[in-house]
Amino acid sequence: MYLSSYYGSMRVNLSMSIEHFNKCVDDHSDALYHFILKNIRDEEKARDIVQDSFEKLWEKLETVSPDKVKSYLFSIAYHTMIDMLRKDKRRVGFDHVNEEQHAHSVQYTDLNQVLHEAVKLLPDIQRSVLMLRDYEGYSYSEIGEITGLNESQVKVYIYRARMYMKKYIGRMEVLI
Amino acid sequence: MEINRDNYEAFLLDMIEGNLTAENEEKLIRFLNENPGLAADFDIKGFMLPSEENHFSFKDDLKKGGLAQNVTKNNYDQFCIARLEGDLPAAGTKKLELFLRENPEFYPGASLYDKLLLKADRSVVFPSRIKLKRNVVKPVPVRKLVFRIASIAASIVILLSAYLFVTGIRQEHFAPQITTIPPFTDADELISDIKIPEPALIPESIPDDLQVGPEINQETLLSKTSEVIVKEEPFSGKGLPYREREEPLVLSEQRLPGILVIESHGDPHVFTIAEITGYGKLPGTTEFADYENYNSDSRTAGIIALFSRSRKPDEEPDRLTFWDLASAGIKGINTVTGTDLLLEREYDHDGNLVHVAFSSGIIEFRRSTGNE
Repeated sequence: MYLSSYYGSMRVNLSMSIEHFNKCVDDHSDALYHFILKNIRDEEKARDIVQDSFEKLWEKLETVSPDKVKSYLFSIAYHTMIDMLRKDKRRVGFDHVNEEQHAHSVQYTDLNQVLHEAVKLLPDIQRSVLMLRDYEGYSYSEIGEITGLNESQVKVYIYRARMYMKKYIGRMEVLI
Repeated sequence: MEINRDNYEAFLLDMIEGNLTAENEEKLIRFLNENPGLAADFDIKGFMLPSEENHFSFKDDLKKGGLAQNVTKNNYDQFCIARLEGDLPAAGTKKLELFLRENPEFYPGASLYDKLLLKADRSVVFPSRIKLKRNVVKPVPVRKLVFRIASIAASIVILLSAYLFVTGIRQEHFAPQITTIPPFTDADELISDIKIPEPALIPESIPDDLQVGPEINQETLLSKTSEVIVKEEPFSGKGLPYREREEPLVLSEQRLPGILVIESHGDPHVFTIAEITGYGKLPGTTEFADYENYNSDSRTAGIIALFSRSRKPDEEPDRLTFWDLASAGIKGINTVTGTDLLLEREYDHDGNLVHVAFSSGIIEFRRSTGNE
């Protein structure tokens, strides 16, 4: 192969990579940001996590299958977020519902608002799997890939989250 | 053993646990009947723990194929969530509906599950999306690149042409112009005025293919070979034969055909080959290329030339030609793009353009113009 054609093909590949990467940014950055923001409720940190995730994607772009890009991004972002939460120790327990926050002083008029308040009270892992399920429509196995859990664990966490939220909105419906 | 007030509790425990014999049981009952106060204190039903009717609530969860079972008040949540998740088969859905019809008190709780689906807020937009993106470098095919360069060159040529056409500017005479000098007239005097740098070296022989253009009038050649005083010092320098000239310059026509050029304006000046060839327009410039083989020092060309930069008074000024414009365009491209494009022209003795050569890092060609 001539040197010029070799470099030419490299340039073409690079260009394709760039276009592919930029399309990923267009397609997934908003959803990823939304997912992280809803979990940690900190815009700056959410931005950092999204940026970090896309940086890692850029480094591994050639090794990540195009149909797995979204899962890869969510997986990177999820684990970064969990690490950050653990460091911050803002949560009482990773898998523990914060029952202390059940005292409500806010008046809710919208069921969706109540739901999102309930989601905030879920343990991190339950909230994450529930969001991946409802927001992004991932299957149990895909959620398992993203979070590093097995399918049964994902089901259990979703079950517990649903149960908790049902009780929560049951109580809220009485108040509303 | 007789049953009395001190040991009757032990008999009672044995009876409760089923360890009492029939004979002793009869004795115990007779004893309790005889002592009704003790019997009142002891409620055998209350003593026994009530039977646990409640099922272990997670038992169904532990079983395999839990959704294949019947719906109960303990597992209907599981069915509701499975229905919400889309995991409940049709048979399970029918079972759940049947259960809810038969147990309407669970219906409100079951309906709450239908409200649990979260909806993403799509109005949330990542604010720094542009920063995430990489700059796209689109590859330019070589063909397009050539066209692009040609387009730039053409644009420059057109703009330059238009500028010159509008302003009426004619080409300046950067090329050396030859002034006709009467043959042998005051040649010695003229030569004596020339300040010749010392040592000026003259090649012993001139390449056969050394040629000059038509502008050089043969009359300008000075030929006083006999007057040349030379001191032979062969094989000095680079091993090339040369003669050191000590006396006023008189050159042989045969040795330097058509090279001597007289400057008609300003002080006469001695030009070296480098200076002469520095003018790209000097006819026969390309023939000097090989001449470098004869000299390592640009001043040792040994060709002494006087030439004029001025215009010949009675001559029409040169018009700007297409090739001049092309050269200017290429020079502009080289300046702008940093490339090393080169357009060379070759003229014959009559001044006709005979060859055109173009070279770049990629392409190189030489074409005849058909004027030979």
